[in-house]
This record gives sequence, C-alpha cells and structure tokens, in this order.
Amino acid sequence: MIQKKICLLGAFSVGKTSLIKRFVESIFDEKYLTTLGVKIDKKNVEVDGDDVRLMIWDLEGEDDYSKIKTNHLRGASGYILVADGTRPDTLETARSIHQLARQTLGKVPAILAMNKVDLEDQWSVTESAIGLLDPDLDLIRTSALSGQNVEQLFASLAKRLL
Amino acid sequence: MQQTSSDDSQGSETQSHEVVDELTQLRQLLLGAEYDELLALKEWLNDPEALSIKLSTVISEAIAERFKLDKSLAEVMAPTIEGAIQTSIAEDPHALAESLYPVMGPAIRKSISETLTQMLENMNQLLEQSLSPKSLGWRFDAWRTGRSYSEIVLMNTLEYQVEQVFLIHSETSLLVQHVVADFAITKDPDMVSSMLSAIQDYILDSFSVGEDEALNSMRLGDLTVLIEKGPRAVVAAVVRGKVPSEIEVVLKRAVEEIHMRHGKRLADYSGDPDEYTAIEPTLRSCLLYRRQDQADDEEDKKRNIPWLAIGAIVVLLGMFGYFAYEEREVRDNRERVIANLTRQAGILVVGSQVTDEGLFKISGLRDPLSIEPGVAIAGNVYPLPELLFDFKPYISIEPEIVLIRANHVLKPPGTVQMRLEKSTLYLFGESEVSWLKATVDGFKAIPGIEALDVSELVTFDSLLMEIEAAEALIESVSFHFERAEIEPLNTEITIEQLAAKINLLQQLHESRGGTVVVDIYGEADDTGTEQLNRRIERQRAGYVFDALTDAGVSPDSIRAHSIRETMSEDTRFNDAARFVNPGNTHERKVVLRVTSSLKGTR
Repeated sequence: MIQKKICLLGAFSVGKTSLIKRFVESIFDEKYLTTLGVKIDKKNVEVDGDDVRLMIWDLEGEDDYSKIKTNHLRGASGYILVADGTRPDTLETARSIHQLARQTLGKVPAILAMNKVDLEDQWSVTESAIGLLDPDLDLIRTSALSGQNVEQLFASLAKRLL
Repeated sequence: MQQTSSDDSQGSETQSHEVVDELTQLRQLLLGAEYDELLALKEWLNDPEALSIKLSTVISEAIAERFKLDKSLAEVMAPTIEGAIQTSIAEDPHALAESLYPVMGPAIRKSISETLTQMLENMNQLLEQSLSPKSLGWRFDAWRTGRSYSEIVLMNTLEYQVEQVFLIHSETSLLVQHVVADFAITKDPDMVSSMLSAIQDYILDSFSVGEDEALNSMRLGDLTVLIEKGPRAVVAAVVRGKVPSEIEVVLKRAVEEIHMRHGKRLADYSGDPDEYTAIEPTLRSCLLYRRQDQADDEEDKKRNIPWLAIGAIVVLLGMFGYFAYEEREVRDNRERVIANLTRQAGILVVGSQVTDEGLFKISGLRDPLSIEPGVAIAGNVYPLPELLFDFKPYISIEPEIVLIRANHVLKPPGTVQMRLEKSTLYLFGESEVSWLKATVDGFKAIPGIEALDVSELVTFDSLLMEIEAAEALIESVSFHFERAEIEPLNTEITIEQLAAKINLLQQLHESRGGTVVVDIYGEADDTGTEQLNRRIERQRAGYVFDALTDAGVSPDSIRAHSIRETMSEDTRFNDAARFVNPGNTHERKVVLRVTSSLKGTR
C-alpha cells in the first residue's frame, strides 16, 4: 500500500484536530500536539481501486506566539489548510502558512478546508476573500460538528497525490 | 540436353583444378617452407587422435588456469560429474560405497553426537525453565500482567533482544520496512516511525544542537531506541535489556548496506514499501539477542554438564526399567502358571489371553479327575495373577489319570495295589475273590486299560471260610443223655446258640445261591432191644428238632433221624471218629451233620 505524508495546517483553534478526530486512526494522545507540536494519525483512503495510506501530520496551530515548524513539513506530498469561516483572520493565517508551505514543499497538491459550514449563516469570510487566497487551491466546506465533507476532503487530496 | 550439361561440368572441373594448382604454387612461393608446416598443422587439427594426444599435455594446466578466472568451469562440469556418479552407482553401488565408507562413519557419528548434545541442552533448558522456582515466579508474572508465559520467559532470560527494526525514509518520515522479533509487541509501526521522526525534530529544535548531530538513542525503562542515520533513510532499532555496543555496529553496517544497494532509489521514495521487500533480510539480521546464560555458557561450555537433563533421563530410564521389569515379572509369572498347568496330568492348555477386565484367562481341556487348576498352581507362583479358567471336560488316558480312574471305578480294597504299564493294569496284594471277579468283568470299561494282570494277586473267599467255620462248629456239637432219657443231659451249647448258628449257615449259603440241610442223628446205647433203641433214637433226634424249630430254625433246614435206621453199621462205626466212641459201641447222644450244595461240590 502506498503511503503519503500530508500535513494538516491552520491557525490556532480553527478546529483542525476536531475535524479529523472521528475519521482517522490514532495511537497517540492529543497532548503530544501541544508538547511536541505535532501529532501523527493515519487514514486509509481508496482512490480508483487503489488504497492509499495517508500519514497525517497534525501540526500545532499558528498564532502570534508560535510559528509552524518547517521541519515538520518536510517530505509532505500534500497538505490541507484549515480556516474558520466565522473568523476572517484564520483565512489570513492560512494564506501565510500556504506561502510558507509553498516555499518549503514547492507546488504540491493542497486543499483549503473552510470549517464550521454548519454555522455558514454566521460566516464573515467572503467568497471573494477565499478566491483571492490562491486560485489553484481547491476549496471544500467542512464541518467538524457534523463531519460533513471530511471524507471527501481526504479522498480528493489523496486522488491528487497519485 | 543432359549430355551437354555433363560436358559443361566436366569442363569447369578441369578448369578449377588448374586454378587450385596455381594457387598452391602461389602459396608456396609466398610462404616457402612454412606452408608445409601450416598444412601439417591443419591436418593435425583435423585428426582427433593426434589432437587429443597434443591436448593431453596441457589439459590439467588449462583447467587450473580457467578455474582461476571464473566459476564457469564448475558450472559446466557439475552436470558431467553428476552424470558420472549416477552411472557409477547404477553400474555398481559398492564401488562408491567403499570409497565413501571411511568418510561416512565419522560424519554420521558427528552428526548424531551433535544432535544428541543439542537435544540434551534443549531439554535441560526446558526443564530448568519449567521446574525451577524462578519459572513459577514467571508464571505468576504472566498471569499478573496478562502476557503469555513464553513472552515473560523470553523477557527474563534475555540479556537483550532487538525487538523491532524500522527503516524510515528520512525525507518523508514514512516507513519503508519493518521487522519484529517473535513475541515482541508492536503498535502501528508506520505511525511510530513518523512520530519517531517528529520527536527527533522536536529534540533538534528544542535543544538547538547542530544539524549534523542527531538524536541516536532514547531510553524508557528497559527499552532503548537506537537510531542510526543515513543520508536517505534511518534505521531505528527497539532494544529490550542491556544494549551492547556491538548492536550499533550492526545497525551502522545495515544502514551502509541499504544505502549502497538502494540509496539512489530511496532518494525518490514513492511511498510504496512493496518495492523494498529485498531489504527485509538485512533488517532481520539486526534482530539480535543474547540469553542471560549464554555468556556463561560460552565461557565454560565444556564443563557445563546438563545435570538436570541427565538426571531426568536417569529417572526416566529407571522408571522404564522398573516397568519393564514388572512387565517382565507379570509375563514370566503367567508363563509359569501355564507351564505349571501344562505339567499336570489331565490338563491341556490350548490358549491364554488377557481379558478386557485385566484377568489372565487360560482355556483348554481338563479331565474331571485331574487336579483342580487353582490347587495345581497355588504355592508355586507368586504373586498369583488374577486368573480365569475356562476348561472343557475331556477324558484323558494319561497313565496317572487312568490309574485314578481305575481306583475310582474298581474301588480296590486297601490290601490291593495297582500299577499301570503300557495299558496293562497290574494288581498286587490280596483280595476277595468276589472283588477280583468284578474287576475282571469291569476293567474293560475303563478307557486306557486294555489288559489285566492278576498273577501277583492272592485271592481269598471269606464267605466260604465263614461257612466252613459254621459247619465245623455245628458238626462238633453233641448232646448227651441219661439212660432211657430223651432230654439231653449236657448243654455245651444252648439250643438258642445252635439255632442261631444254623440260621447263619442258612443265610450264608443262600447268599451264594446254595442250599443247606442239617441232619440230626439220635443215638442210643447198646443195651435194650434194637427196636427200643431205634425208638429212643428217633425220640432224642425229634426232641432236638423240636427245640431248634422252637428256637426259630426253619423245619426245612433240619431233618431228624435214628442213626440205626439211616446208617449202616459200617458207616456208623468206621466213617468218622466223631460219631462213636472207640470200641464199636453206641453212646447215648445226638450229633449233627451238615449237607450242603457247596459240600457236594468240594
């Protein structure tokens, strides 16, 4: 089975960890995320009949005090940027992380997950603002609460990795 | 048309001959004497015999030279040699067997001795581990921790063991290959390998050591993770126990070997571990371990005698010996029982078996007159096995049994001894005639006796003797009278006694089928007239007659007579002294005479 390393990136408390919690296999406690700055989970996805094993590096959220450790990005075949639809600043953080990742990894497949789709009526992030981020970036609206589109998020990224 | 073509070919042949001759001339001009040498060489090459003679001088050296170059010679020759050996064996296996004989013996002995030593050592270890108090502790640990016993044993007996080896791609932190030792527990190695990399990065970041320096060992309890970095991939080994320095060397070599063979491919790892299965043996060679006692073992392997195993074997042999002995005892005992029975006259053992109930069943034939089987073996066999007899009756003509049967049937008196010889029954001692008569009549009915020999037997007839005695007594009786009296004067014997005697005589004769009559003769003295005397004689006899009949004698058994009337003078005086006194005189008396069928026959 082919394995691929992917990273889960985004601002602090956009719900990255909650987003994937119910969809991945994990043997490590969440406390690793805060101590080590990273936690590794696993997800098997089927792409056109082939199984792909995604090793998901859930990186600590970025805020004013902590920056993404580029060491952890190394070797990733793709990444998922997570932003909170109700907080425009998280989209801005996603943009800067995206740039950092592009510098480190080159032009690898990436997806923007706009989380909290269940609260879409409260979203303060505009379509145009999302569109401005990077036209090459695929957009998927997700909900950690309902699990909406989470499987599709991994499936579409995996498909682009092969 | 054909003619023409034939002519043509003839023409061209002549032409070509000319050309060849010219060429030869040209060659000789050009090469001179060397041309002849070349021709000789060519001829020599075409002649197999000459060629082989020439080659034979260099063939050994040639083979040796080629052998130095490469291994192709071995490959080429292998089938030939195999074929040769097969042919040799097919033709005569003895030749090869004889050549191999000096090698095979030692080889087999060595192999057997090594196998035995190994077995003994394994057994010893097994016993030590399964019987010692230590092992009980381990069992408790296994129960307490929920791990398998073998796992606990391994953990406790191992000085160290490399439990897992990871090959991790440096760039992506993805797992390339992973091997696990038996009994070791492993958790999601792909996640572990990524996390290992993350931890390394974390350490690197947190303690800002130099780029080149890397974390190469982590420790938790008795677990150590050794990390050996290569440019493209990292080998990480999880070691339980005390880590010896040699492991690092082994890991280093593994990393080097992997990079040497797969370094280029690893630079661009696609994430598919299946492409790298070839690495597995290299990683597996890193799964080192050392038992705790191995170190001691190596030091004094020769002195270390596996006492426990030897002891166990001795005990086993002892038990085996005892059981074999007991088994043998039982078997011997059974054989003794059968032998004992077979010896007995009138018992034929046909078969024996042990029944489902464990009884030893002996079946056969037995003459009812022979000794009881239980009695026959009692006292001779110990311990007495649980026996079951199943004998069918038969008639034996073994001499002992025939003799018993003769005793049984003929019932000889105690004065008679019997002996059997070749179907002839010999009788000794003395016996009644009547018994002999019955024996002569009866012996033929006894199986096993065909003839009777009584030449040594003295016979007698006690009845006859009794009769004779009774008769003598009766005839000895005489009654005496006073002158002219008819009542007897003397009573030597009472009438009752006489009557009883006469009745006895009567019975004795009747028992032999004979008859008896007692004549009573009355007698008077010579005084008085003949007529008177005759009357007195009748009266005197009549008196005794009456007295006897009164005493119970049958009148048919006795007769009363006057002696002067029934006997001539000559008979009266000369016949027997008993009748009269000497001097030819008559006396006043009554005498008795017995007449019987028996007396007549004598």
